[in-house]
Amino acid sequence: MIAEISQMLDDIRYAVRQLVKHRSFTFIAVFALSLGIGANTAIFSVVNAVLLRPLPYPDPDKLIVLRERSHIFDNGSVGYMNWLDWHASQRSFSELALVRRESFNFSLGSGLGSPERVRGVRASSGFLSVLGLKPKLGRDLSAVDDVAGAPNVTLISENLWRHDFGASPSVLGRRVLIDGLQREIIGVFPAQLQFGRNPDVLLPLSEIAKEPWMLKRDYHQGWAALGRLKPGVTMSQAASDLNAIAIDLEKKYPESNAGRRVKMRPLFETTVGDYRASLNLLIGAVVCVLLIACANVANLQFARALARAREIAVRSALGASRWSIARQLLVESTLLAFIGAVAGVLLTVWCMDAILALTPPNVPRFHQATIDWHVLAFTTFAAVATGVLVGVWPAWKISHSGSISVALHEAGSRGSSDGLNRQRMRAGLVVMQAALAIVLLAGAGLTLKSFWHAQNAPLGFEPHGVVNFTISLPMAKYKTGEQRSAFWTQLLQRVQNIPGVDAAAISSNSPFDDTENDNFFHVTGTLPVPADQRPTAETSVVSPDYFRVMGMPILRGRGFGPQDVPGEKGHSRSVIIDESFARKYFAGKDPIGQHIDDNDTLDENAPPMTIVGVVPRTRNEAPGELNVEALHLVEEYLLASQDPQPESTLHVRTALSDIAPIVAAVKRDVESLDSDQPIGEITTLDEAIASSLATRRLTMVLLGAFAVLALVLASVGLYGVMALTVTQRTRELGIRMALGAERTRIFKLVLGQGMSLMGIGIAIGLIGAVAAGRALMSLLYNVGAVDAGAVLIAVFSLLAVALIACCVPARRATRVDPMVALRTE
Amino acid sequence: MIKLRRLERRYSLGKEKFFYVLRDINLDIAEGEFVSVMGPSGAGKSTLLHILGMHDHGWQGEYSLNDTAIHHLKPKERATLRNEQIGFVFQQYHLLDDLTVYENLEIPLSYRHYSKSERAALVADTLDRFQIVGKKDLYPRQLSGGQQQLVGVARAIIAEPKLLLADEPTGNLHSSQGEEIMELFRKLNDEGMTIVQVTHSDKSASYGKRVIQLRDGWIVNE
Repeated sequence: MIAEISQMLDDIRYAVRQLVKHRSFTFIAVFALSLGIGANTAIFSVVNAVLLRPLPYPDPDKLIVLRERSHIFDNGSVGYMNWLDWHASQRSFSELALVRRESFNFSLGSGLGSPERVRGVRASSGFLSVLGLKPKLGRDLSAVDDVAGAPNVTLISENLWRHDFGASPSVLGRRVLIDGLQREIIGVFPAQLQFGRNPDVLLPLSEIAKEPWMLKRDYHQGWAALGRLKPGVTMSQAASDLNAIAIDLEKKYPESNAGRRVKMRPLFETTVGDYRASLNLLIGAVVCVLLIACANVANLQFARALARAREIAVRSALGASRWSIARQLLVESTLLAFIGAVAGVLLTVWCMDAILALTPPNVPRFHQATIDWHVLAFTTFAAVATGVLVGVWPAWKISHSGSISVALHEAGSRGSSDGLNRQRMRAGLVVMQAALAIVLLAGAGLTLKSFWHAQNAPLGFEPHGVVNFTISLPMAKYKTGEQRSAFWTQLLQRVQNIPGVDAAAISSNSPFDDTENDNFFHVTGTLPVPADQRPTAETSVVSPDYFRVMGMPILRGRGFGPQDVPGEKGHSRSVIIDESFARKYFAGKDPIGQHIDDNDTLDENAPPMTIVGVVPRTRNEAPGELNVEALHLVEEYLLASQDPQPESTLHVRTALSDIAPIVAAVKRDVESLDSDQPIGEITTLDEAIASSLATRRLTMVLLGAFAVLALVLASVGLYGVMALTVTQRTRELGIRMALGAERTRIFKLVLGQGMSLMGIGIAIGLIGAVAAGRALMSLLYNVGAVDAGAVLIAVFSLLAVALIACCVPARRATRVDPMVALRTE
Repeated sequence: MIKLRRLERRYSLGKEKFFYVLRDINLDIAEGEFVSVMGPSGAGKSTLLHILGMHDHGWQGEYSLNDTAIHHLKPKERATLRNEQIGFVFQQYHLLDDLTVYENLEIPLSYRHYSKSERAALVADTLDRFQIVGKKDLYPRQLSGGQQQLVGVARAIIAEPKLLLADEPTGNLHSSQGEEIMELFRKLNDEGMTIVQVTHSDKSASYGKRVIQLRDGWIVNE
């Protein structure tokens, strides 16, 4: 054993000396491997953070998210009343909580510091215990807090506790102002709670439990249920249990629950499942890059092995076993891979910030990507695997290179050359590199084209020059529609007078704001539709200037105006529909003046709404999302003054490039109207659209970068092989030239050999590209698995780079002096 | 010590056609002999030496070394026997360029699984014996041809083989250096080592006790 270790140390010492001596080889090999291993490390660190690291809760695989499935929405929100019934009847979960993400206005108290908008969660009691968490301080929500009329209480995050309260234990019992209500802090929840993107406050159901819209069974206000499976219960058993309850509810409440079933997904999948396909794609890409790098280095090893044939033959003659020789070569290649791995990790550290900067902020767990011991363990494994991959074949071939006497004889003579098999192997490696490069280039081309389509998909409005301010009026303070309407009206009057503002409006469902508001409707005068087939419209409640701010023309009828008087009981409200609504439900008829019944009002006897105008269809979410486009939902716009909403987005159109003065002025206007009212997110509509495409952009940029790496590595590999070929064929080329071959003929000869290899690689790669395109389909938008443009660009890119890589050695071949070449031999 | 019977080495030239390098070789070499194999280029001298050194396995016939039937051994067993009993000296010295003199001497021992301390002791003895202690940290390129071949011989005998095979050991040396090497061989032979050398040089052959002439693969004169 000690002798083995001593032998291994000798091998390492000798390997270090070899690598130092052959610096050019070492540099190129380390460069190639660092790119391959670095790319793998970078992507693995993201995969580790997103897909491999378990959720920070005990037994996280037992946590299940429950949603409602309907004829329209596969993953719809849960009705509060339905949850109450699920909660009471289910037997599969040890606890079943109701929860939704929200944002809240938060301040330490009226006049105490600036109010701010914070992320939060509203949940039933048991939410923390479902997750297996206990308050760090104080108590959890209890069943009392689920009931209307309970005291106003809150839990705050550990982060908020440390930041705003200096981690003082006396925070319990203090009162803070959240959404217009003084609430007592009863506990501090641990930083582990990531549900709802690291929330800062946790509010109970009590204050909304008796709201009419909560008690309406077909009102679905963004809730989800979160359960922890009882020991021994599987998710499918739980699904059977809950769906049996859903069928009972369907029988009891056919109007609201017809066709409604329960959809279950593990919490882990709802958190990160949407990113699995993109990350798998990137893993595939970086593995391709690593394989290309390995092929490159293996080829370099072969080239070196040719020069080392004498050494290996002598070692054999001196008594070295095949294993000794193979081990020496493996130690060298593994050492090389380790150096490459260290360089790769440094490269990853350097480019990680750039990758994270491209990552959309709302993507969970991406930003937790770090180089921890898992990543380093992976890199070490990758290095060892690479070392073996790079070294094992050359080692095996060299250590089995025939009789020692022949090897010694060849080594003793000059002009030792590659055997035919080894030449074929080297050519095969180049072909493999070309094939993999084509797969990556074609894949990158598809994602690029897909991104271009997504970015240029018609919006139906003009986003440039629009600034959005999210404002949420607390219901506790703005109880009535009149109060809310007064706030919005005054705010709009003030904002419209800000210098540089061309127009201002509000909407309850801003495009690209990550939320949806959908309502059932019925075209007045048509036959009643069964409950489980009712049509749904994407609904936004807007102020009259909304269409002007958004640059949307009125296609028919009119926009909202003074004639649309604020809603009063018994008064028909006005509605503007989009062109798809008109086409689908008023084909061949003029929709203006027609009526639709609306499910959105709580007034059961409200008269139908009157259609007053038609506007273009708009795209409100990123292409490819489960959105209006995918669900074929029509759009309708209601008037804010007839249905004042507590939460709206203020849209300001300006021609100014510097929006800072406008932002400051809006903030002043809001503060002057209500000093406790914060503004939430402030963003331009352009930024919101760009953000919605961030995941696609990230995939495209990374895949593009890996494709370029593959292109560079493949061309370097081709160059290496062609350069070596020219060196080995010097004598042959000299003889050819001595026999009268023209230089152009020699040039074509070498060029033809290189380009033939590329041609074979491209042909094989195209088959792989088709397969890769099919695998990519779920991530593409408006692009087929095989796209002629993407394939042509990939082929021509590779051919162009290959041409350059072959031209240099081909040119060198034309400069062979026949006399010198023959004398050399 | 060495017994060859009907030994042949041939290469296939196609269907049923062969090119013979060695034909019907019958040879006995006793322990302690110093044999020189001579003959023109292509006679099969080096091939015979590499067969004796078990570097070449593609032969037919019988080969016994110290009563061990080599023709019945598997390649791995041959390699073990070779490591135990045979040292080899090359015309081109074949020192490993990236190793120092010390390391070149150490390497056959490491392949024979000597411990670090045993290796150090044996290398020190050999350096001393060949009076090259001062050169132990030099690389082959820093030595003259004669010095390189001296190291080559030292490396061949460091594991204390019973049989030393030398393929034109003086072929790349000028006469005075060649004489030094041959004197060394004579001394080793006097100490009891069996030596078989291939040479073109009558003078080198004269250091041996017996000459075998090869021509076109046949032993023509002994």
